[in-house]
Amino acid sequence: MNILLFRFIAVSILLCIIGAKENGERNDPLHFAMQKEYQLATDQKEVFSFSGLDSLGEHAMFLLYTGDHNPLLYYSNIVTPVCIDNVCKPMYIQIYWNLVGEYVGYGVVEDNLLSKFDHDLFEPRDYRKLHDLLLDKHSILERRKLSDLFDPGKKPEKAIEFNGEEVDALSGATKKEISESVVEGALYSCYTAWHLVHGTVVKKMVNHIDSLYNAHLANYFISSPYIAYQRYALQRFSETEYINQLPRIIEILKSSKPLLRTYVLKKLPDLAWAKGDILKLYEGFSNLDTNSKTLLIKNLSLADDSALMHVAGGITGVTKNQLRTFLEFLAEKPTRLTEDMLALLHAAAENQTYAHNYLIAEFLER
Amino acid sequence: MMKRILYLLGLILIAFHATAQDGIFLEAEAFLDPGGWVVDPQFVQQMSSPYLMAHGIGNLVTNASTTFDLEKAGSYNVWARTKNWVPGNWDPPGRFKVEINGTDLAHTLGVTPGWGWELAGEIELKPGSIEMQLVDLTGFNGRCDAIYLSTSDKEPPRAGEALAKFRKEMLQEPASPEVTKEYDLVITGGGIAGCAAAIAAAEQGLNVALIHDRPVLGGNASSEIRVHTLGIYGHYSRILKMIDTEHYPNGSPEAIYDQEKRDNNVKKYDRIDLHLNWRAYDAVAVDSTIQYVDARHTYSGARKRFTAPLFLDATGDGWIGYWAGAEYTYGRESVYQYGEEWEKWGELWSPEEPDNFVMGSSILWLTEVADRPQIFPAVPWAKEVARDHAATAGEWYWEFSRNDLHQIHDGEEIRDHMLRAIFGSFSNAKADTANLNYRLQWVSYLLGKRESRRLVGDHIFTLNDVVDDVMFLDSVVAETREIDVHFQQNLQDESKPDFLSKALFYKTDRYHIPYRSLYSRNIKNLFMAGRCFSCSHVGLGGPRVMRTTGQMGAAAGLAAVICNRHAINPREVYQKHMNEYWDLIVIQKGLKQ
Repeated sequence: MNILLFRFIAVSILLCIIGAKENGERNDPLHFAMQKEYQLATDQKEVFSFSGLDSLGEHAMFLLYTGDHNPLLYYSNIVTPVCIDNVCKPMYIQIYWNLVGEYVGYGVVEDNLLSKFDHDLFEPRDYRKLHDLLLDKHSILERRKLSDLFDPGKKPEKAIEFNGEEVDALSGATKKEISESVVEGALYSCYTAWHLVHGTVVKKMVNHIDSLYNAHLANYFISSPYIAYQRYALQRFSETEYINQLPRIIEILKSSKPLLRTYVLKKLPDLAWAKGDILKLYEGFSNLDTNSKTLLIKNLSLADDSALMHVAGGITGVTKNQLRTFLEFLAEKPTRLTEDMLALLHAAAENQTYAHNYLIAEFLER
Repeated sequence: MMKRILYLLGLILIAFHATAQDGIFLEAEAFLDPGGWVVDPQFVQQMSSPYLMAHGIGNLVTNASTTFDLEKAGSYNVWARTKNWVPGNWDPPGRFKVEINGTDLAHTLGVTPGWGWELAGEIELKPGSIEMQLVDLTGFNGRCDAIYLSTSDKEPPRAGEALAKFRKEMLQEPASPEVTKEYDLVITGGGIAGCAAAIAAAEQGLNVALIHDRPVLGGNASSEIRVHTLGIYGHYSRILKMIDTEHYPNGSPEAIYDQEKRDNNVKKYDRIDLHLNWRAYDAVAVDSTIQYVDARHTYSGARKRFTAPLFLDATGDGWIGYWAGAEYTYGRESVYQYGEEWEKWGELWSPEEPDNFVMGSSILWLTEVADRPQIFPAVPWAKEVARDHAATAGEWYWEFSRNDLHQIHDGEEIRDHMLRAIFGSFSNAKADTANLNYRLQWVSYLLGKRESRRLVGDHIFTLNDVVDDVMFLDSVVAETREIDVHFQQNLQDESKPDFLSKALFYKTDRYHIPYRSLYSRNIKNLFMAGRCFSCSHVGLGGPRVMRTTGQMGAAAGLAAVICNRHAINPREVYQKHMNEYWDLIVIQKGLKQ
């Protein structure tokens, strides 16, 4: 009980100091994963408050705007206690999230740079490592309690001092799998920052942007180079919007990750498959990931004949089941089997480096 | 020695080779001595038979051999049903030859893509006892389903119905099994769920048949697959502690000790009629009531019919339900179907559009460091899968799923893909001089499946039951472990190998599974326990771990006891006898064995 009371008082005092400091000036971020959108921000508005791991403190969240009031980024100037064994020190960090609540970068405060347990300042590589850690929303820190971060079988190499006091919370060395992703000597700061960045605040940002979402944002998102924005828009598009935005969607699909690509390919309305734009995707059939190929083959019945030719041209790059689906389709729709396609199939059947050439040979025999 | 006796007994039971006027048919798995070859019955429903496989992890295995009597002299064509398991621009990895009476037949086998007959050669034979051997040439998973000798040039049917008919004719099998046995409860599948069910029911006096297609019990927890058991014991700690595992690393040889414990504990029950190496192949229902399960010995080919008023499907793949016409689901439901969204993980957790992209299957493996450099053969046929990934150890996340693959129908392809991933990655690691002394100690050839068919019960367990903390009147299974759903790493990062997964953990308090998820909605006398219980894709994420599936088994086994007492079906236990059922459950911990 005494420990808890002590901790409460210590943290409360710290938070009083913090409250005054959080309203400080916004600096350019030190690391930033987007283009320099923050430079376009001419205005900001406090939109809600949130707490991190230590629910005693509330932080103000700002939405940064362009001059013509278009949202750009979420931003919070944070001072948060980092505590070990009830010994606390403040961490100053200015965090940026994109408009769909994903961490994108952070900045520091000149007079209060980030430091480690032993007060050594972060090196440039440490700042970079922290950024990489915060970018990883699937970090190993996600499911761990602080007490799970150490290997009880190993002793630390030296006594750990924190804010001038020796602390014994670090009863063992940092576990190997943890130490690979955190800044050495700054585990608690990393842990605190990660949970602050990826905590309940994310849901609050998503709810907030949902309330602002309109045609302008939809257009901004789908036109942007950012997968998170594209995904947000694509999740909300109506069938009509899918058709109207098809050229842009095809562009996105050509360069996106398999996860988004397969999501969209499953969601495309039937009408979209009959459009000429979709052929641009079939043109690159051979270079697509396997799961996307499955979906392109599955939808051949809706697509133009030239789509079949593109698939036939890349037939030696498909899996056994994909090939079976393709051949079954041709068997059911023999009128779509052209001479050119037959020539491609014959070549594939004779291609000894293609593992499934025998299936094509069997098909051609029939 | 015991092995040999078993094979001889098998041969006496039914000589699983047959002669017809124009040919002799030998099932490879029925060879008198399999030598270093293993019997693989995993894919019977896809390629029609158990087969012998030279799983030498890079070392040549000793010959499989058998003898048979030949009546007529003549010049015989000898065919082997086999396949080139990795066709491509390299020497086929699973090559082998057939030797008869000490003479090598001319052709190397295992060279043609797809299961089919390859001509081993032609040989002059005289009447009398003939000795035949399968000679492994690579140590890398050559496989042989059957041998056919004939004086005719006519190749047997390659696959499908024609092959099934040919096989039946050659073996001169009657339409139904020769032996029928009657029980109170027939359990198919000797994984943790099946074992727990058998013990629970047998302890209460039921005569139980436990049919399992492997030589050892435990399924994914067995020493053949080596996944450790996770989860809590619920009401069934006494039973589950007889069959679970320690928390050693997945793939650990320590699994062998727990194997011994499990096998001994199950075998001590006189009322459990244990059928190891028997694989069920059919179940027939009349008026939505299963009449019998038919099974075949995986080596000898002998068949038995198992009849009972009650059946339990603990096959994992839901085979009994499937054959009997039980409703089942497969794949990932739309997120809207049950509202199982986890916004943070979106499609990776539960997709907007339903699909078949379920959690994958794993092959665990283990290396050791020798005291001198070890050579590992070149595996060019594995590089396409492994690419530049290098590894000297496996873990649960060596897992394969893809949206064009079905975890049951494409099981052999999935297993073979994982073997290529392992051999290729290990070969890459061996290129580093730091790994010179590493050698493969053990690689499983059995798929550790996570997800397959899910039979539909009166209640479909979903994430909502967890999130809403639903306490059912019939909460016979409890769990505290996170809901844990996997996805393939290459969905997020195309540069990752396609055989590695990640897990999403949804933290939870204690949650409960109702008894109504443990019996079929439309087959009146069918229980199910294990990963084929009634749940959604996401709902399976938590309770698929094996102490939880063990709880399901024990709960179903005890429900069968209530059914037996009153001559009722599983649903009526819930409707009319819950108090009696609960009484039976809560005394379990304190019971003396």
